[in-house]
Amino acid sequence: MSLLRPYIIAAVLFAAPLAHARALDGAEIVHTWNRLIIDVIMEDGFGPPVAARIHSYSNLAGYEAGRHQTKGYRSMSGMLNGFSGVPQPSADSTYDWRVSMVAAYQVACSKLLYRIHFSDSLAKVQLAQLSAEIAPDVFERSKRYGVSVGTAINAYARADGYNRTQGLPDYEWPRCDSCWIPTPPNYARPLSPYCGRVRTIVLKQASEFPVPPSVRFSTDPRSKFFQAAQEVVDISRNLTPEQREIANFWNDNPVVTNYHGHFVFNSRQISPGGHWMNIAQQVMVDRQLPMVACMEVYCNLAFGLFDGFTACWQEKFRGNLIRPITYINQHIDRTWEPLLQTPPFPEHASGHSTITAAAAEILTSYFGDLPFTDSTEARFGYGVRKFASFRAAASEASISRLYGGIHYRRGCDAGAEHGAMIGKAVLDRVRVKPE
Amino acid sequence: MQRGRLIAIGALLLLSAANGLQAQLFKALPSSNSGVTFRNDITETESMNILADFNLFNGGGVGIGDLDGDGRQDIVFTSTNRGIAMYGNLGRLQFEDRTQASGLVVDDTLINTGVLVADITGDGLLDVLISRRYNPNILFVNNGSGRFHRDTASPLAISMYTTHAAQIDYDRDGDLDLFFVNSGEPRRSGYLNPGRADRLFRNDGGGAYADVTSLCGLSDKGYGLSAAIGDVNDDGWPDIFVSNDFEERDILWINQKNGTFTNKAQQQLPYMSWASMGSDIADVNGDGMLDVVTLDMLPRSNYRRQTQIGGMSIYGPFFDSLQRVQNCFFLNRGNGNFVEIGHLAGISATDWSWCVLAADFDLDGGLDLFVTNGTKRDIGDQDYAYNLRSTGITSLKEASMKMPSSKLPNFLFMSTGGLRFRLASEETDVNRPHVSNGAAYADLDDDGDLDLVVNNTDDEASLLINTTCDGGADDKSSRWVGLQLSTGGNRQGIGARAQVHVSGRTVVREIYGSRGFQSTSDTRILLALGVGESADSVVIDWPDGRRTWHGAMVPGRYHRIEQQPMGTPTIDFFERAQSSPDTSVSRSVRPLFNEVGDSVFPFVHRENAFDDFKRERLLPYRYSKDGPRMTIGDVNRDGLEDVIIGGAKYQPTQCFLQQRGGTFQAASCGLDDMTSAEDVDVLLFDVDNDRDLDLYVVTGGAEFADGDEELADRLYLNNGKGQFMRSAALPDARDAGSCVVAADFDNDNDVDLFVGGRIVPGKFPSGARSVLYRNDKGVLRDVTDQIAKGLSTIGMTSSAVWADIDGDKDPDLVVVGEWMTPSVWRNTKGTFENVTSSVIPAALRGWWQCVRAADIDRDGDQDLLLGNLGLNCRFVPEPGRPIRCRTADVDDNGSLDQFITKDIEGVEVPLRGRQVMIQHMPTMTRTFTTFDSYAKASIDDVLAGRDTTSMSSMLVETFASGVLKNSNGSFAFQPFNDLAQVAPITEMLVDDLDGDGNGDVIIAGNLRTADGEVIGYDGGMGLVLRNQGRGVLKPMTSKESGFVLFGEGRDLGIIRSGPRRLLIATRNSAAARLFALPDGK
Repeated sequence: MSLLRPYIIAAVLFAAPLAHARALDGAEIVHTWNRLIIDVIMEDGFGPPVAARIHSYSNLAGYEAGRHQTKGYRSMSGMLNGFSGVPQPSADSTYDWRVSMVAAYQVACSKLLYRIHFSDSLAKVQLAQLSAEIAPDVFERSKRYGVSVGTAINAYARADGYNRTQGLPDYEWPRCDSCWIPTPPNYARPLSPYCGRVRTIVLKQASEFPVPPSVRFSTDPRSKFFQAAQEVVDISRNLTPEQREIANFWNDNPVVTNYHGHFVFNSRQISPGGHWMNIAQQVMVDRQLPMVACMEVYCNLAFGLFDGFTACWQEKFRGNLIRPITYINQHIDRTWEPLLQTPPFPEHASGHSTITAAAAEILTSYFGDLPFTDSTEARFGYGVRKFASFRAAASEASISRLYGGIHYRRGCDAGAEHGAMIGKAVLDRVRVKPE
Repeated sequence: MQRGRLIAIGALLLLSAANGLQAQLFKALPSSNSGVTFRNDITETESMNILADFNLFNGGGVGIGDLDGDGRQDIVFTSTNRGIAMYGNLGRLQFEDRTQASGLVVDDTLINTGVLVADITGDGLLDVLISRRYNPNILFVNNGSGRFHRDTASPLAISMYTTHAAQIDYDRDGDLDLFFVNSGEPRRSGYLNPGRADRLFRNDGGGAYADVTSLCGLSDKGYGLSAAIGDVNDDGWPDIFVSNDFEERDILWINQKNGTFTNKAQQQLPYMSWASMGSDIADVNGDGMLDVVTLDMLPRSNYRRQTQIGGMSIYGPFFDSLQRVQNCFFLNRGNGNFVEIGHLAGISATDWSWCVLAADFDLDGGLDLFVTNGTKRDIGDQDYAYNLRSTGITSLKEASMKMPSSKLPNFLFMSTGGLRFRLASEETDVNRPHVSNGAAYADLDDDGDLDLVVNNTDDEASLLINTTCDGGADDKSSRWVGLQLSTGGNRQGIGARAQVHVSGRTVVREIYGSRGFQSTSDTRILLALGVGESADSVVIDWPDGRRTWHGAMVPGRYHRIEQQPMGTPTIDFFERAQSSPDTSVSRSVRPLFNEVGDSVFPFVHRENAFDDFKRERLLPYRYSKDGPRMTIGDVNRDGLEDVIIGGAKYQPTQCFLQQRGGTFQAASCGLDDMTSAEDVDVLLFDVDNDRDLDLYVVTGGAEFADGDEELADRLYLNNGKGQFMRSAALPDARDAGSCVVAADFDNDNDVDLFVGGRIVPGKFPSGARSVLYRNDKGVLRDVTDQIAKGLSTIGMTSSAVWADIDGDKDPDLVVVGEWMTPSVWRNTKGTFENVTSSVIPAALRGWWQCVRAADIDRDGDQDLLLGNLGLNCRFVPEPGRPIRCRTADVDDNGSLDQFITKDIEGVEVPLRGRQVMIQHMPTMTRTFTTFDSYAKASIDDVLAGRDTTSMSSMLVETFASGVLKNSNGSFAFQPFNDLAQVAPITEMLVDDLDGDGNGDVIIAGNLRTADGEVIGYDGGMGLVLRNQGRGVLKPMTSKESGFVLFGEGRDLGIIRSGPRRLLIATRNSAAARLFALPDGK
């Protein structure tokens, strides 16, 4: 029994009546796929780093299969680490690139997602609509091409080492005074501890950019570290209603476990990466960007998220810094609880701050300092917020982790600095359109 | 005496079995006939739902007692928040609602929990105490003639999160004190939150009570759901067993006889239920000692086990190695030391269970168990729990209020005379599905059998009428005796213990009304009599410590026995051992062994922390916790026997040199050169024929990589003075081993060895190489493949023994291991042939832990004693339904995937849950998107579409330990008594303890190596089997043997120490225990 499923089913069925009214719009297809991917990620329960990987490879498949729709878009072959040899369409045949794109999305999703009956049925609905619009031989050729691109992307994805991390022994975290240990209330084992070992997509390696260090650890009440923890306590005790709202709005914890005696259940929410994919969608729908342009934005944004998480995770599990709740319960207040549930991995630096800064850099480069309204969280009961720019939103998202009591201020700031560097690197290295 | 008693029970049970086709035992009496229309309807609202109150669905209780003095048992019900109801018994199973007339009215909508029907004020009249979770308890005082008034001034009418109360005369001053079992705050979020302390109120007479909780040392906090009272250690003072919900441990409060209690749960129980709910204390198996049954939430069917939240794994946030998700059946083995036999008894899994009552429902002489279960909302449904998404608090409440409800049948387990119970609910109306909570038994129609009253959520209460005494062919209407005890103001005889002698057997009952869950049962004693049996005499131990004797009782009716204030012969309990006429129950037993203090032998085993499951998540058990094992011999040639014990990783293998005066001094003896190895077996033997003892060390463990130097076994030469030097006279073979055993197999007057191979680390189930080492003038050579083809790849061995199986005077080899048939290798002039298939019976593949040879039946040949996993396990292979292991890297990620399966209800299904499966193989989520789909899947469904070309398969057919009896070189298997099947047997030592010429068997066992959900096979505490001749092995109680070995027993050895002999028992991750053996041999 799930409350989520109706959303996905709605997303799948939504495509059908649209198509009756008019030809299936390429950009709408792209957005529908991205909505579905966000929802199935929630249903499948992927953690944020793995979610970003899914966003990346699925949109890469869509882009490579559909980019021919608009002249001038280059293949990303050669721009991404270890990525080459994408199948090319035959120059003297006719294709419908929407069909190729749908087929590529479906093939990629079949290896990336778990609940693939959702992606399969979306593809089925869309392909049925498209096959009615175009000649059968064109349809078949286009579909075959899309499948070949999707298959190539799957081989590329498989080579990034993620699958092998699944066969590794469980991660054993180090023990020390400053070390992260599992946190209440779940005391869960660390999420995706080996993600820092997965091949980055744009960065030369996960540690390409240095993460600004945290405050030097100490248990001395006069130390900067103690004061940093004390600040978390002080802020949490004096939260304004707006700060509380901000913390919840950007919580983006995909799985929160709720305990009511023996009634234990998980609340699902969009992941930080999914939140930004959704912001991008809202802006692109608003501005009616065409199909290939949409995929370019989705791809680069997803790469920023993926490399942001990979780089951040590499640092998190290198430094293994203690979370505020552990430090505070040990040294300041045994009973203190944060507003938000502490996610299960080391503190430094804030993953949300990292990917948010990267995302803001990337979206700003495409759309400038654009005021926008974000209603991503409305369906989770956390309302709608307006922002002056992507960077303003990013800075609010970053500080929200301090309000939520799950990061020190330094962890937020360091993540934001790190993320901005990653965002710029993606923009610098993935250039698919001639200037 | 003992034997006669067994025969009597046997005859009685046979009788009932012959009449098994009779009309059903319990018939539901409709409310239209009974007049009992009470329902506990729980209506969820904005403020009353499972989110607001996690205890909301705990349901109501049932209170039984003669409230109006007419001699008939009346009924009080509590509802969750609709007050209470009282039904007067009109006789002939007719009742009338007298709630208003009696004044037992609760007209608010606050939450009620338990009901205690008891004389609180000490005036001889039964009062009613209603427990309330968040509000003051309510005391209704009986005015006489069935009218009650509410006493708001009582010191008991206060708020303390009470679940239920129980009467106990803890200070034996003749009046009854009150123990309140309390829960805690409704918030339970995973943060620090230990619940509330239970409270004890001392009765100071005239309705005055004083809170003596802290005075008595009872202030441990917990979420208490029930308390059971009884004298578990036979010292005459009542003890308390508290069942705590959640992670808080259950508590066994042992009465210290000085007004205080000490919690002995950790010393006297192997483990306990996790979310413990209802409980009962009674002598369930009829051995004169009180047993305890506690309930938990383990589902019975495979489907519900796979779809409901298991509650706990070793990786859970509050995992406690002393708690298990299962009903626990604590069998008292003497002095309040309990083994746990829930799985063996067949009662461990009854789903979301509330109330357990132990009583002889079918009057066959053995106590049966009745269990209620169900919850209004399936809040344990994992598909629900894992996919619920918050869209704001209101809709979450809505969602929680729309969850499906599982009405499940209650359970009736019938005694079969031994330790195993037969599920019989399907033959009766007990099987009707309800959500049932509190329940009580009572002889409602005074016909001599016990009826059941069950409080159901959202349903009418059930009256289950017992038909045993209703005439017909199986009429037992005159084959029972009832006793109603009374002493002074204690008109129900609460706290009295009756020993009734029935034609040569003795039945022990203690009277306490508060039983099961939130309920009060009939306080009269009811005993079954077999055909031709009579209750010859009754011995009553009264709560004040005095004892009375009473003559034969006329069957077919209740007898009132009143303790006279004076003039009756009385004997204090402290003397009862000497003066009791009864020898079977309360006799003082001089134990065979006396435990010697730890200081004599200062060895504590320290196992290194290593979790095999982090490398191989689907392993059925760990193999990193072998050892410690020891070897005994005079190392330093001072004429005194010394001990060498193998150390775990980071603990050196050590000498313990015996000193004059019988103490032992630890010494390194030069053996600490490789402390990073896990030394799993050690053997002193003279390798170089220089007449001192050299040492062979087998290394093993799972914490290494294949080929690590720590896996190389080590040979040490003795310099004659007890100092050892590493020798190179041994091949550098790096295999994880299990054991070493010595014999001169080539008859050349030196000692040769067999070393068993255990496992290739990280590659379960690949067995490591097993080796025969031939001693060539002090150099050990691996000659396995030349003289014993196939032995090197025999499997994952655990133990071996040399024994002359065929009587030809040369040593033959027997090797056992997990997933193996005991393997016999016949020695013919120094070459070995595997003769297993011709001498060992079929269907003996087991998880063998140990093999020893002895002529147990004294017929002149060597029999084999085999230690297996035991039968007290969640999953046990049955004939034709083996447990299998299929192995391959089906998801091609470089790690082996093991699928442990069993045929359940005709389908071979995976035993491990979806959660651990998808943790190990995330892509499994693609096939099984829900717990529901996984729970319905066969192993073929799980493997469909996977690459299974390289898949290997193994199976195991029996977990029973037993004896392979030798008859002219071929063997027949005889399983041990069930008491020896309670836990894995890791070591057996045969020694004639009682000097009758027959070898008795000392057993060590328990394994805490099971997978993350099963956790451990450790319900036992060691055992001594007394050989009564011809190999008939009879379990001794721990009271008789004095041998109590909780924890993971690993090795046993007997060492001579001055005039006495000492039994040394080693344990994994614990101190060794030392016992002095009887003198004279």
